[in-house]
Amino acid sequence: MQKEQRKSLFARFLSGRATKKEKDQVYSMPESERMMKALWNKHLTHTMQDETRAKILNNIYLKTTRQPRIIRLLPLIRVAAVLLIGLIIGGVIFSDDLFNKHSNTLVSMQSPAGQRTTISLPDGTKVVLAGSSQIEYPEAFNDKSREVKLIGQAYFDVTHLNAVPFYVTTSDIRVSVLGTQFSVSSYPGDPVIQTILLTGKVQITCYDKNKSVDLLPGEQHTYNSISKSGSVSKVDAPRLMEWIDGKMLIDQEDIYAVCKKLERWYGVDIEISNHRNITDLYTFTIDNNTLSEVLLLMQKVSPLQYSFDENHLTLTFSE
Amino acid sequence: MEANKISPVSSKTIQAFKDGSERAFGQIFHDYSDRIFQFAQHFLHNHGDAEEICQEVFVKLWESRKAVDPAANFNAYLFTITRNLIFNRHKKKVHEWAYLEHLKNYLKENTDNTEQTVMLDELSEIVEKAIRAMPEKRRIVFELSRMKGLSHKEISEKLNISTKTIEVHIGLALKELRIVLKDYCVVLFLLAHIYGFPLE
Repeated sequence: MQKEQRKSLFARFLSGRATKKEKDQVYSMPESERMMKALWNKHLTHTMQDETRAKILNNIYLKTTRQPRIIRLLPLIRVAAVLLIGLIIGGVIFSDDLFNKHSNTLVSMQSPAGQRTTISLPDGTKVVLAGSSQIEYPEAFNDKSREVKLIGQAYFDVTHLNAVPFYVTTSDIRVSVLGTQFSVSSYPGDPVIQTILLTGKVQITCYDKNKSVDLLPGEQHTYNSISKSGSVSKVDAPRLMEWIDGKMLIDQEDIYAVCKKLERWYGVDIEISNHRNITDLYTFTIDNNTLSEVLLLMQKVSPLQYSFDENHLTLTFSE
Repeated sequence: MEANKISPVSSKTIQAFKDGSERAFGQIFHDYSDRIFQFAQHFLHNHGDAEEICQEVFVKLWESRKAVDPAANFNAYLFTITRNLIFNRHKKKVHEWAYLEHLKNYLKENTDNTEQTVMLDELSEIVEKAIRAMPEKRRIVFELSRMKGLSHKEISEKLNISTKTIEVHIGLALKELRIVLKDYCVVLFLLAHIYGFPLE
């Protein structure tokens, strides 16, 4: 473009006279392209507030991934409904306290056996529930603290909120966070409770001991509710959290450990029908595979037969 | 995997994202949301607009995830999505004066071509002179609109004058600018006549 033409283009730009086409001309000049690339790759100085980022992320989830179903705790609703009806019949409706100020309506989310469910909490925190797991949380968090009750296993990506700690409570321990990504596993009937930290920082409080332990990224805390003792070890956290994507790693594990994992993963009951001393070790990765596919794989390692009966799997080892 | 880290996303993550992994998507968000926001901020009037752009980029990214090429430069890919969203779909929201300022600064720092920067400096100088010469009220209104990017309503609330008055002020201000810049605009005007370009 000629010098004079360019000057005139900029002049029109400045005086508000540029047409859409002329604006496009300015934005698509090679100098513009280079300038934009330089600004894109510039060192980060202007970052968003954590609250803003959380809000944006929440909006993105609402517009992309599916919405969870909300199961309200039945007794609460029935009571409220009855009261409301009573009041209407009485001819007057007291709009006020029935539903809000003191009632912290609890929301209960369940994930059926063999399925993962993704949920967004009121503060934008993302939760992925593993199969056969349940969480409970208030409809609206207050500004002092955010508390979630967990039965089973879940992965948390917690929104960072200054001065509003986030707690995950299980039967025996409580995990406290400010903003972070981690996974907690606390199944009923299983004495072992595991917490794995991916990023950020959490604090684990064991009710029984009334002691607290800080976890750093890449660490796992294991609590044994029978011996009432906890320990911290270093682990490959991202590997252990692959279940969130439908992947599960089985690494040199015996048949009993494998069956326990398969039971949870697929939501089936497994019975080993002959109690010979099975010492085979299994190593494989489940990547969105069906149970049949997994069993076929296992048959390559051991001489085993299987049969299905509804939700019940029976394994028989020959030889 | 910290937020704010300027590290390229691994192709493993991109592949996982392409396959629909929400966790990979979340990771990409953590790695790039601030960069997109910072970039958008340079060219839009306010934070709210920049936030919206950030949101739209990721929604668009998710919707077209199957088309992503894990082998290609992901950084460049996100840049292209963001740039197109700002300068095509949301053209109207672009802060033109800020844009030229950035262009001018970039050229000053990065090219030996002084011709362009001299040209832009000259134009800016003329414009600034004209603004300084405006009556106080008009200058303030114009600056709030063009430099700060406030809407007429926002300016009206801030200065306590009617939106009608504001429109008048801005109309007169633009007219003055056109007068001082008219010598430069003439060339295009003539060319448009000669070649039959549509003008507005």
